[in-house]
Amino acid sequence: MALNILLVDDSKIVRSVIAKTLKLADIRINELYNAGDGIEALKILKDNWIDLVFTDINMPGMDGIQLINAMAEQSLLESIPVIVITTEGNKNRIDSLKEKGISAYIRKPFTPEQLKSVVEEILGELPNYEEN
Amino acid sequence: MENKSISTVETVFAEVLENLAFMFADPSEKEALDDENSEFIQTSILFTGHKEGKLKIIVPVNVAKELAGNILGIDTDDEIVEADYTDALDELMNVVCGNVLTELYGIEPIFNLSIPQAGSFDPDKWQAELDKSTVAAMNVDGDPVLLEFDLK
Repeated sequence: MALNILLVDDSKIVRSVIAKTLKLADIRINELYNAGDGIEALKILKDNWIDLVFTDINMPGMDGIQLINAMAEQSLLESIPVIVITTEGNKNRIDSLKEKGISAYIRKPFTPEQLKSVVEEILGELPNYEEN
Repeated sequence: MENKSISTVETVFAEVLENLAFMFADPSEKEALDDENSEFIQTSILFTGHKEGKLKIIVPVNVAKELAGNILGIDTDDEIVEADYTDALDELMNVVCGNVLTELYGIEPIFNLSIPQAGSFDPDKWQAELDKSTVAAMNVDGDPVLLEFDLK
């Protein structure tokens, strides 16, 4: 299964790191969409089929929490898995994000193995590139 | 700066730099750093909450370019524009700060981090920075890097 993935982060560098790590993790991608904040992300989500969203929390404009809340309020978007990529280490904040319905969180820095493990926990085991 | 804070900042910085960009950093004696003929940039991140303070980094531009190049997978620094290497340095600080605070205070306390904004650094202020007790000196692949962890 090749995935349509949306990366939401105000940093081009971070989006690049996630994209590179997805590739190193052998996660097959059909389309990779990029958004600089929650507002851009919602536009992309409304116009495209997205299988998985990776989002930062701290962003200017609409931040990650606001994006997660907005997605939860829309029936077509509420079931899309959201993975938060953050430097956040606080247990209460992470628990709070889970209560808001995120599928998982990954702390930075992270490895391809960690990324793949989290994606497979959510979507099930993914085929390797070499097998396709 | 307390010894534990110094060593934690140094250790976390080296680990993050290696994981993020495959670059290597070691603590250095301040007197051993060579700052000649280097153009520097700096960025800082403020944290509030359980504790308040600032984490700042000062690096030569060539180190910031190498950081961005390694992250983006670009070989020559000619292709790396200022927006790329300032973005990379800001992200490095963001990750280092989050991990330093967790290492020092655990996962229970709540912190709020500001969004870092990289900018130029006046080389005439190098010695004043070096003299601060809150500043740690690092050697990154032969280049000088200063890290300041300043608790209020």
